[in-house]
Amino acid sequence: MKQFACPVIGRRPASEFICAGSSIQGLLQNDSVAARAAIYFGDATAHVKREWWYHRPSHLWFVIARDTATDEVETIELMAACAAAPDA
Amino acid sequence: MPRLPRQPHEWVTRGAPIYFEFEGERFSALAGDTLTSALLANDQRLLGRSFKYHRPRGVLSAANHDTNVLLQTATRLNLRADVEPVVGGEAYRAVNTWGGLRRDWGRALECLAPILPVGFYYKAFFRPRWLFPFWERLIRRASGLGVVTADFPRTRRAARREFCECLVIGAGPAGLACARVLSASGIRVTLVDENVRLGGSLTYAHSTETDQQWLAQATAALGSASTLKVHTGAFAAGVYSDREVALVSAEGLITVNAGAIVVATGAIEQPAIFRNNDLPGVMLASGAQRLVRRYAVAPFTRGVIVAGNLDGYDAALELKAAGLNIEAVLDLEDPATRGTHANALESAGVRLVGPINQLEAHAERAMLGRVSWTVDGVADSLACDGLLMSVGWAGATQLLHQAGARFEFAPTLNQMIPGELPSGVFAAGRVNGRYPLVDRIGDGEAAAREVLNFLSGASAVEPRPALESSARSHPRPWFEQASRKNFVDFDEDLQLHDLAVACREGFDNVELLKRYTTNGMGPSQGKHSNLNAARFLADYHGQTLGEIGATTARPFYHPVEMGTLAGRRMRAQCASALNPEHEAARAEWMEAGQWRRPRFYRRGDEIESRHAEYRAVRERVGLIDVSTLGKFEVVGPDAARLLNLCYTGAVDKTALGMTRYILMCDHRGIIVDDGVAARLSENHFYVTAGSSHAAASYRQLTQIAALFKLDVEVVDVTRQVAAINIAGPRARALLANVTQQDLAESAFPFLGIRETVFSGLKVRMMRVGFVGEVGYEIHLAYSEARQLWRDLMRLGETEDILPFGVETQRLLRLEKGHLIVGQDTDGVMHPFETPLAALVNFKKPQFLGKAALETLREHAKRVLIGFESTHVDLAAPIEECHLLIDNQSVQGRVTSVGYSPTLNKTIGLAVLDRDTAARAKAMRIRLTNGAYADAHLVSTPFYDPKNARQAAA
Repeated sequence: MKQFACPVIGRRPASEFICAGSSIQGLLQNDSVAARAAIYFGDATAHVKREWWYHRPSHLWFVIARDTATDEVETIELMAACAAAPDA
Repeated sequence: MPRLPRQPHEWVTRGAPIYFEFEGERFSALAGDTLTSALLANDQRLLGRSFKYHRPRGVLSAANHDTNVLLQTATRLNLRADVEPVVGGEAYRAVNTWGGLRRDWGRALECLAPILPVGFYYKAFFRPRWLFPFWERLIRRASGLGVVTADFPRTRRAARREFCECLVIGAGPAGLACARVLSASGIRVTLVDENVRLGGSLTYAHSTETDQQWLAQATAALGSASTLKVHTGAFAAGVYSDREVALVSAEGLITVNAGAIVVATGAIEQPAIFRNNDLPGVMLASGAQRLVRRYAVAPFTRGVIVAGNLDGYDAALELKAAGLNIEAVLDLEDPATRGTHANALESAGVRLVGPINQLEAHAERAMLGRVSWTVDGVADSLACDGLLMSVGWAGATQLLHQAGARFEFAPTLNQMIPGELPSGVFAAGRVNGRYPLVDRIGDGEAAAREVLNFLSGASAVEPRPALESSARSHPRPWFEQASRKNFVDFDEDLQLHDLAVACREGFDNVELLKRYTTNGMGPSQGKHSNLNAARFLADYHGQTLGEIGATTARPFYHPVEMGTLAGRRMRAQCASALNPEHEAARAEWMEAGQWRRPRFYRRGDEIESRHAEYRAVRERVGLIDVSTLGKFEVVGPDAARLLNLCYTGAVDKTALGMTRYILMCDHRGIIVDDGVAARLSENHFYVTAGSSHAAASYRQLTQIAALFKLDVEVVDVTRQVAAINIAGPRARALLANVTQQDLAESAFPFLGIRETVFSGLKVRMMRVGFVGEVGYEIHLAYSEARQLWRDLMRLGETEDILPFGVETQRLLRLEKGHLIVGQDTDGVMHPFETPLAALVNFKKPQFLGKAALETLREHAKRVLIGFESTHVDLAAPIEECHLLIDNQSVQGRVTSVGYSPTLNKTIGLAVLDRDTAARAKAMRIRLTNGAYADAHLVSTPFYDPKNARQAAA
């Protein structure tokens, strides 16, 4: 199973996490045309994406930069310590 | 007798025999015997029947690389006799026989072979149509292997997890050499091998003193290594992300997380393809060697070897040395090119023949009796009862494929070998194309050094032994004949002719060929057949093996029993503080997400019980445990803003001391949760959520809070806070005696919330109307909930108070027309298809789902609507998911339904096509038994539509 090297508690299996995707800001757009574009025509190409990942046992949000083509993780940060939210 | 004198390194223990039964006959075995070896030691050579044509089969690989011999007992199915140890006293029989192994009248199916061409399931049985039921019965009867019975014990084996710095898979020369270097350097190593002893091919070939000494030393060195863990009799079933490997042992599943993996899985010997190559007596040379060396069993008295490589000559020499009679070697090449190997055999009195260009085995009473061949057009034959095939090898590459390795064609080896490997995965030994023993050892040691480099963060590649210049695998190990019965895949009874037909029909891709012909799709998953099929396909299209490629290998390497995969059931369950009270009140339980909830409390039969509960609430007072609700404290200057962003309504407009029904949609506008938001102070809300969506709602709240960097804390108190809903016309009067809170409508109105002391306990009380009567939801600490429940029950004795279960609650709320998210809504339902449209406040600048809802508002296609019916039939009731039919077409489905005693009717909610709902007044509902019930579409609520009960004193 995929494992994430959490900066706080070390390597944890992916089954403890829930991926919430890379785009939430877009979904909350005031401009409904832009929001619809984000919902129905979101970027599905494979590349390095910054994604929201939720760690269920600790209730913590992480920002994980992951290459969706290779499934390789580049960085993993606590959301709370992160300067910018994914896609913000 | 086929049992040989004691062999130097045999795996069986001489001494008291153990007894077992096979096909009703009693046989003896030695401790350490497998079923295959024990049966051969008893001169039993007919061991199984083939899948399709029920042809007689015997041993082929003796290594579980084929499934010629599948047995079953009264409690276990599809035992692989090659590797299954004999259990004393057990009775075994062959699977897939009709009337016993010997007689098996299923062999008559072979007469059907001409009308079962390759891909017959795409071609045959369609016409004439009326005959199809006949074919269907026949195919159903013929398919499958063993017979499952419901009496099989439900064996579960505990799963466990292990960690190591390097996992070495395969304990042959390469794996042992590798593990030895690694453990000497002090890192934590795990070594796994599917055999019960270490050594790999050293336990069936390479019997010289020097080679066996190396094995003894290597094993001794490992024995003294403190950082090494060895699993024998366990196989690596699958390789997953981040070097996680599933090992299957007799005790259960072991999941290993490894820093690095060395795959030293060796090579699997491949059969030659000629007429009758499946007769009992025709086997792989390595199979015969295993039987002789490990189990001291002579599988034949007069042996002939078909050789396509030097390994065949080596096997002949070793078997002769062990005292077996090898009459001849039939070489696919000219024996004169075999050098010293040929000389050694000739001087040992073995006849060398070749290059042969035709080959055929002949049956004598269903067993091998004779082999015939031609050399330069001259035919010859020889009587024999053992024909050993040694024409080539396929690397056991399955695990490397799973790990994501790329393979390339090595022309000098006629073989695919690993090319680019994923990070942290290494190959060594024969699977890596190194065949001579010394090279395999050197390759294993080099792999170990590469692992050490990798683990220390360096990337240096170590030099590996050079590849041999001559091949151990023949490029065309088959003999084309007009006649058939030349088998490629023994599991599937697939013949060379079938591959030829498929190629002629245009199949030019190895994956498509596999699916069309079913080659490699049997229980041994192509271990003995994939390579030959790929070679044939490449040859047919004039391509190399590299151009043709290999089929994808997926987990598992061998089949894994369900009980092993299931492990032990360990599912954490939440327990309400009130569970002991429910138990004492004779609750009938139901699972609700991670909770158990009382479905109803037993007082007589279920209908009586539920009716009593219903009447208590409607006429007097009842109470229900609602501790499973999600409960969050939302505190901070941005609390109202957060809730406004997550829920559809104007939560910020909620007055102090009041609650508001709230609805959460996802970004597509789909209803995902509902609940109540109560405002305790300007910056403090108490929010409830649906039992099954609580965790997801909490996650959503915290995500939005993080995204907008809101100054708010969300605390999930679901499991710290218990909740009891007490409802009924007498509820208010009853509670007035025990709380300081003034319960008058003016002091504590409908939808209000109050923090107060109740029966001496600190509680929050909410005025709710879910079940349609005056009701109070009392939230308090988990530890104090039992005391409150008991106090309420004691207090209510005068009113004949009853606890009610989930079933009664559902009926009560149905009468009020309240929907339950997840029951009355589905994965695409949005508020504009329900009565909840008013909960969406578009005036808010921003909230989850707003953009989608703006579109959906104009595009509602369905409507959630009430219906009632006079159909009240306990034997054939209207049930959830029954279809609403109008004009012979489906218009919708029932989402909730129940019998309302107050209305004396069946009432329910249904999802209906919007246009139909606007037009039609009545609808028919199709029942389970095919009959129809009439239903009228009505507006909800069914009960107390003006909410007069809430105002009543």
